[in-house]
Amino acid sequence: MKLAMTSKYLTQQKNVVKELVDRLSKKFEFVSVLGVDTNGKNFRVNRSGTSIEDSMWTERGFLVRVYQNEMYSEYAFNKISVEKLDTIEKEIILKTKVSENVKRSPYVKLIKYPLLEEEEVVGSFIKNKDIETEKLDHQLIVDKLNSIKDNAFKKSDLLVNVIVGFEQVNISKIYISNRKNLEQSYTWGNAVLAPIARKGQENKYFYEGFSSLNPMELLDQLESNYEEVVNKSLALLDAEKVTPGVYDIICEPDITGLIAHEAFGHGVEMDMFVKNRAKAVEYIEKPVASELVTMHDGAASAEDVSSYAFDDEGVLAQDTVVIDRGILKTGISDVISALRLNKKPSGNGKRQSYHRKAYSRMTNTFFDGGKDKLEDMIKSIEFGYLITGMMSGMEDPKNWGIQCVAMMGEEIKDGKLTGKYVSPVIMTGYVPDLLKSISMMSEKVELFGTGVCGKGHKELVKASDGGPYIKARVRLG
Amino acid sequence: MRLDRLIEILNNSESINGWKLEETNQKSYELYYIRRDLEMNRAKNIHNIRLTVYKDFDIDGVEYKGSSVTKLHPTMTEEEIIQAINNAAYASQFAKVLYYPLVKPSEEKLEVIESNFKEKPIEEYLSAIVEAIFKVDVYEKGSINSTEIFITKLKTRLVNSCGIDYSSEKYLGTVEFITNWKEEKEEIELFQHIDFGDMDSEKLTQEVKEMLEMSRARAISKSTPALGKHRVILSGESVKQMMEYYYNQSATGYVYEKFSTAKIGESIQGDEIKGDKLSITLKPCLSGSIHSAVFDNDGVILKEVNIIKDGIIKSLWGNQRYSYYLDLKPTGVIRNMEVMCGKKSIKELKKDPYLEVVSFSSFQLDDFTGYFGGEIRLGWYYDGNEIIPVSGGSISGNIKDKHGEMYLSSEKISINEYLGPKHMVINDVTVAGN
Repeated sequence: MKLAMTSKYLTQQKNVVKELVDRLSKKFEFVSVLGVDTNGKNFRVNRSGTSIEDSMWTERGFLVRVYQNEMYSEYAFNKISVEKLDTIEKEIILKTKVSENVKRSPYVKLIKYPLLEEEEVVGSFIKNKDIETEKLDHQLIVDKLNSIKDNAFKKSDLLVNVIVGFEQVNISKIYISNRKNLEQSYTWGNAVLAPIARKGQENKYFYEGFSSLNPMELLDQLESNYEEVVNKSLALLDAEKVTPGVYDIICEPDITGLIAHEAFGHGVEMDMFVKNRAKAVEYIEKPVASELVTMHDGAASAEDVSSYAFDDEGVLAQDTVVIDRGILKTGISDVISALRLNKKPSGNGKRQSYHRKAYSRMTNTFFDGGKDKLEDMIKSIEFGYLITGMMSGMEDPKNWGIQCVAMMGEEIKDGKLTGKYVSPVIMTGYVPDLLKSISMMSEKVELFGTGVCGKGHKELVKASDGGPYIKARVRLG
Repeated sequence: MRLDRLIEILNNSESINGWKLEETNQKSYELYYIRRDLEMNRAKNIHNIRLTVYKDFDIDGVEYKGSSVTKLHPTMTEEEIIQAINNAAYASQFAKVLYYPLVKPSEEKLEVIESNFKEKPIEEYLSAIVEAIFKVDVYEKGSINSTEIFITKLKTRLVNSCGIDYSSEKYLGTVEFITNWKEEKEEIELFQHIDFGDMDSEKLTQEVKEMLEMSRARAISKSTPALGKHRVILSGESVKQMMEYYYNQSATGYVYEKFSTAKIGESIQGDEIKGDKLSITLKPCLSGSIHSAVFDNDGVILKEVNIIKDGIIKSLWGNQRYSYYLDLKPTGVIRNMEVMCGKKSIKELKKDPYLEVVSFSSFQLDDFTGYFGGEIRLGWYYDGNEIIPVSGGSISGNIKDKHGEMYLSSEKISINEYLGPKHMVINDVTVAGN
């Protein structure tokens, strides 16, 4: 059976979009249109009630890219019909022109880009066709979330609130240009669990997220994990502050993912190469990490929230080996950066929304697994911490500084976990120092796709990251 | 579909008790530069409608309000819209919270959000912004690496089933830029993101100039020493974030959900305040802020409100729902705040040794726990003899342990939705370094 694209709307509009591309192709040397129809539902319960809202990713609209005067311009809009094509065409011609005032500015000049030569590709990529958002069993989901919340509350009087959430998002996209005609539909889901505990004036919480391309299975994951998450929140009430210093640590897979993402992923986004903002340029084919480290990124490298068939610039998904046994091999790119660098794009051109710019962005970023057992890793540490609970991170691609914040660290003394906790844990340092210090890696790789990734302080996109447990040596504060 | 037809459909819908529509029209222009080369220009014209449907019901004598939010696309047919309303109505029966009333229209005349962007079409401001940024890009060893410029005209209309029909118009400017500097060591960079609701070329130029000068300092910086517990001065954006902790702690939503224990009449800075006492006023409209608004998204007309005076909570602020639960008059959601400055100038505050952090990789403050910290991208360390630029390492602490003795500078700064002290001094902050 051939599956159809989830969005009936985009299916209906394809001919109108093709007509628009044809019309614009008479005026511009290159034309592409990205059409997006995303819908999703976000369910959330806490002590005061339940909310059901459209997901923040819900949107429907179009993005036109044209090539004129040796540069690329874009125009986003969300009203289209056969009757409106004349108006839309005129608007695109008008709005994609660089204004004379800007052109005349003595401070700037226009970059000259080559014309994009796309390969001819026609394809329909429909995977994990899941329950349509509007057919989700609201009763079942809300009852399940409430039951988990109520059971969590029963665990301790110290809990002042418990937040449990579930989100399913269905994405449909078309990309039509002079040489490409692509369509795709896929679904992902997220679930979150955050019990908030209080002792006196002290508030503490542990947060756990789950992601899957089969959203309904997340409800079971919430059910089977809530006790552990509650226990971690309660344990944090007695956590102490870490004494600043350099420690041997073991990172749980979510923290390994945070390091892969922040420490190195952002640094190999090739729009940073174009801007001379990436130290990584100087290290291609040079060692940047321990020989144990092989790092991937790619929509085709794993099955998680950023596993699409083609990116927001119509480039098919790939699996890029960024670091191969410690040696930096290549970066990840969007189309415009690849053009500037005379490279082949890697399928990493992602947009926060149909109306935002595409940048080189991470997809599924992770370290391959190793050969060590977690118990041996713990046994190998005289004094250090097992770090868990991803909070935040910030990139520094130019100077390779690293800032990763984790919710907790459990003390390891004489090769054993002691049950004493420190919180929060700020890891800082120099990226190659950290990556070269990796001395042990466990076998199993886990990915986490609950969070969103920003570029600087904006441009949020879904991305997953992860890896195995790793042993490293870092500065904690 | 026209909004009046949509309203007619909603008024005739028997499956709901109430509704709210938030309609936005956004027109934007964007420029992207690498060094001084224009990499790309972009424009957008987007129309969005966000619908909330409400359904009141009673379970065992307890009144509840169900609601569900859905986005309506302008390309939807009437049939699709009716389906979306029905779907939202269906969802609302499962999304229940305790009853609260919807906002009714006020007879007060709505004020207008002032902005000098009104003076001409927004695209005509692009070249002025470009000039304001690049005119100070004149240094031999440092320069602007890349710049993104956004300018948006945003029209909003809010209509609800109780008769509210308010409209407003505002302007949002954003500039994000990276600066580089190269001295003897490797080239460094700093990042800045500025939002503005007014065109102020001089301020923009000054921001870029300051960032270039800070880049120079970072390029010659030394590693931050491991200072242990030390006197720390925060500046600019991180001070604003520290103040946001008090803003959030004073929210009815935080209090009702038990994220905050704030009570009117109690101190928000603990039992003993040795340093400056906080005074915070929320202002619906603040010059230059992109968050200025005359009504919130429930339809509450916004008025200035003093939430903290001399460290004591005078009023909680919040939306219609949580204010009703706490039996308080809703202030609505006001995003701008003015914080009263301290008495001492920064010169006086810098007499004793300090570490002043002027740029973080990403300063974080956790509103639930009070923990704050971040990696230092640029700081100034004064050991009592000399002042040296430092970089690397981190600071960390908990605002609840520190706010009994913190000092605010008499110098003021305006950062988008914040107007208040430029500097803050906190003692005994953990400084991790080399």
